[in-house]
Amino acid sequence: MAAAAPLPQPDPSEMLVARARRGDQRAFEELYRLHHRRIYALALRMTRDPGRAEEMTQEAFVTAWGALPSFRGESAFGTWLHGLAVRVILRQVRSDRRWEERNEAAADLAGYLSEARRAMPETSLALERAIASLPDGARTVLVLHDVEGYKYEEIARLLGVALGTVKAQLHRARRLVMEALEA
Amino acid sequence: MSTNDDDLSTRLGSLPKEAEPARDLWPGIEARILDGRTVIPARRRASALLRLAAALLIFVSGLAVGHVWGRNAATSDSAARRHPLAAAEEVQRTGTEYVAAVAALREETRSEVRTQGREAAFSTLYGAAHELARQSPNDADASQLLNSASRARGRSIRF
Repeated sequence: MAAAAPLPQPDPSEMLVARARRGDQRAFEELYRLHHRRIYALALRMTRDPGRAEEMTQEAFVTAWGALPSFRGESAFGTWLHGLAVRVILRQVRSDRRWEERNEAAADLAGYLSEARRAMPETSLALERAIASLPDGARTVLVLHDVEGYKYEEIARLLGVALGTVKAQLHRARRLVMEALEA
Repeated sequence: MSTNDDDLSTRLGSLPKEAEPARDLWPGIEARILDGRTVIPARRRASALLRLAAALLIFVSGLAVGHVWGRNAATSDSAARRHPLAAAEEVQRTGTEYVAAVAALREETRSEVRTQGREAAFSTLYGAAHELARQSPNDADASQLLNSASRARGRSIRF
């Protein structure tokens, strides 16, 4: 007799999402506990500022709570949440004048590396330093494509730029990172 | 893509994708989520329960008056006649208040007050089901709702 095919393992988020959609705040907290590290890591690399990264992580989850009724389960919850978080973070970064000021402050890099060492002890600080030293646009594209695994088309859509711009930014970012690593 | 690029991409792709924030961010998220909801603060809980009791009293009184005057309802100047949506809006508005008052029971720590609130809530639910069934005697859903509400009310009331 043929062995029965294993039953597909349910996504642990699915039941939580269903409950959260009905307004169950405890279920949403569980979803936060499952996914917040991913969002914080993204926000940290995008902003290079631990305080702003915390704020943006919170903003992403508050936005997700409000947007839950629009989540139709066409993708995994984590994927949906990540895309939403990218949009939230990009919007915040663009509108945050203080962030632009910090962007030019050399002292921020030390603060970022200190937080990266604490929050991601297994990371390569040389790579993190090289990424953090990139110009804003190049860093955003590199983080989304090479670290987070987004496709060119998805990044172009998220940033509202042409596909060629994304490819050019990525090429430039990689070259600058290589130079930084070889220096 | 050159070998160097491949190597770099591999290294970048293997960077950690998770990082633990230095503090718990959930309390801040929870507070903001609650801000966006209709939440009755602690200081308003007692008044919410009083409103629930008052609403129940008004409802029961209205039900009694309705039974007496019910036969004349067809000639009365109903809310629906004044404005096409007025009656529905009134049901929705008072219903929202009712649900908010019932929701406030969750925050109540005194079990006696919670029990009284539940009794009042079930009685009100029964009253509404009774009225719906009376208006549509042949509606199976309304009859089923009335039966359920009647059983729930009976279980909730202490003798």
